[in-house]
Amino acid sequence: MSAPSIKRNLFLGTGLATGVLITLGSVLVFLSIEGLLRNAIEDKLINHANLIAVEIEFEEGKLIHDWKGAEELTTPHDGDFYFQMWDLSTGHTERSRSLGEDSLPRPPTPKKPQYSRLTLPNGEPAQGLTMTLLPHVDEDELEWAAEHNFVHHPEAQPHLLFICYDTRALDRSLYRIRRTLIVGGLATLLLLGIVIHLVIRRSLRPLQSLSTNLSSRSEGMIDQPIAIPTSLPIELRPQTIAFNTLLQRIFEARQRDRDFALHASHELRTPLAGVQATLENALADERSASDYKNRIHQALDLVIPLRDSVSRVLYLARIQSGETQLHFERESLLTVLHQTWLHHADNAKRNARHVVLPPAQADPKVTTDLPLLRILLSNLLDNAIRHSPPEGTITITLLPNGLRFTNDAPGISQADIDRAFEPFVQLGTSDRDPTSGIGLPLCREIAKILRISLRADISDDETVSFTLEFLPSQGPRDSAAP
Amino acid sequence: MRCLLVEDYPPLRENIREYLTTQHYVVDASGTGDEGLWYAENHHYDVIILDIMLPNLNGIQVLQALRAKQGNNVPVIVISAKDTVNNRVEGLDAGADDYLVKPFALSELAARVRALTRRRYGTLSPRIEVGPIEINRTNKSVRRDDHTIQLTPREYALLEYLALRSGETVTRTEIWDHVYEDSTGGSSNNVDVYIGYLRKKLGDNDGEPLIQTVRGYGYRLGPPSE
Repeated sequence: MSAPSIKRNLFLGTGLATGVLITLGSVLVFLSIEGLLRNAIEDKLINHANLIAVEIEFEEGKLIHDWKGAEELTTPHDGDFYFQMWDLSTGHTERSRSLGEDSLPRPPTPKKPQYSRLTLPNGEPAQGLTMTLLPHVDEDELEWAAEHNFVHHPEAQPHLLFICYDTRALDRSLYRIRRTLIVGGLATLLLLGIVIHLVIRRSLRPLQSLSTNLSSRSEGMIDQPIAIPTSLPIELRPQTIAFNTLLQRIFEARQRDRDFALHASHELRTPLAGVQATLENALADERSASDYKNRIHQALDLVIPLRDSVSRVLYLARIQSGETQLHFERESLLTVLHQTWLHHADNAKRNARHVVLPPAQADPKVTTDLPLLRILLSNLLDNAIRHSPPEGTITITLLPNGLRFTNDAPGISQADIDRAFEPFVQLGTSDRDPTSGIGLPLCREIAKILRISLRADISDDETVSFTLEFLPSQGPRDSAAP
Repeated sequence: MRCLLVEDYPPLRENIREYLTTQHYVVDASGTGDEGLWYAENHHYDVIILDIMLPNLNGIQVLQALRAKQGNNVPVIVISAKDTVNNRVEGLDAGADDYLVKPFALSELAARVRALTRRRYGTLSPRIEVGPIEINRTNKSVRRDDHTIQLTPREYALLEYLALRSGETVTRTEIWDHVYEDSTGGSSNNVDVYIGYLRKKLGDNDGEPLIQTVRGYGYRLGPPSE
């Protein structure tokens, strides 16, 4: 099945509608003309019949066909009349001279005058009128009857009159009219078709122009808005504006991607420079084996967080592009927290952070994607350890529908907290760690797809808290929870 | 030569400091923009190596504050992870003399530092000749009459500074500012001691000295005839 075409639909639709209109109009015109002409013939027939009727009369009590002596009735000036009559009481028939020896077919006796079409004995087409009439009794005859005490009985001698008019000329005229209407209609249709085609082509030219504009764009211009010229038809403006809005969104999305890639690249350059500088320093002088070993360890210490940072960047990119497959499982929230904590215990101890975990009094269950939840909790723990001071305390509290991570965070401002979930934002004023800056944005993206509310708050005593709450449909205390 | 290094990523900061120190530079290092600015405004540096993305004050703000001060024309090399043309233009327009994108080779950073200090002291060649003494700043070697003279890093730094300002009288304070770390104990006597070591190694004691004492003021390096 071929694709729908506006051009074809417009052309066929308007062509068909115009064709039907022209045909109907032509037919109506033709029928009106034919009706008028045939009505005129009918008028002629009835007038002629009336003339004949008064010429079948009684004269001194005897029925006579006086019309035979009337030249205008037997040979009409147009000579196109043919008639025949039958005396219904005797069966005697009389016919007009124009019929010669031929007879008209005898029609059935009508109750009232009746018109018909027929073919004359000479093969020509004709219109006919059939009527029943009684012999005429005029004034003189009535005087004669009164003088002779005679009573007429015209009803006893009814006559059937069948009068016809040769319509050869009419049919020829009607044929010419029909031909003129058909040829004229076809010519009009053809002309209209050409005009419609040109109008459609002209109307659709802006679409082609837009199409050319879009297809000729270079890769760098793909998301640039389309210029709307004043000549653009108003019907296309809403679509073009909507398309430009879409392009703007694409531009913004691409810009976000570009910025993200740029930020990621920038952020990874510094730790990479650290690795390079460490190795260069190692090679700058002859050193002892243990010194080399130490420096390789230093480089490795830089590479591991760098690798984790790259993994987080990739993970974040995958989540944002919707590539992550979710697999929901049911598990205790505290179990997931304790499992995650095990990976951070050494780090917390090494950095002298005290972590207070919630008591295992309740054991709420969550139905969620556990690997993603572990990454979320891990990043929040990592963030708390990074930004709390040495000997600082990190408290994790169990909430009715989630968890709260609270830690001391001197030097972190409200402005820092407001931007905490933006990529590559460094919190606080301490030495910057270029391998951070992705953890919290990743938390935000994970929270979004796991339907978890995540927010950061700062209190007056320089305590920062990150609160995650499962939204009702994903809550930890669902109906199946023990 | 005394350098100020302002870089907030500790591993990179420590490695640059270590490398430049082996290149006989005295390096002060800082991890924040405000502290770096304080150092720059309160010490005499031959070159400043400045990161852009810094806590408290960013590198551009530090640079603008420095250049806003009358007479502060210390050469500044910006080191940054930002590598677009706009970033470079912004850094150079803010008053940087050079722009180096991370990651970079430490040897390249050192070469750029040398180039900037040459320009600062008006010596375009990496080799400085003062009378019979020839100092190669690239490989940090010193020769006198085709004989290589072995110097300690401190002695080399002292000689290089005097050579860059050859013909000028340099005060002990200036020598202290440009050749000694803040943490170095002692006083200007320390300068006199090292001048003594240097004179001995250069063979100044055998004839008319290249390093002349300007009594009550400091020292001047120059051919005996000057």
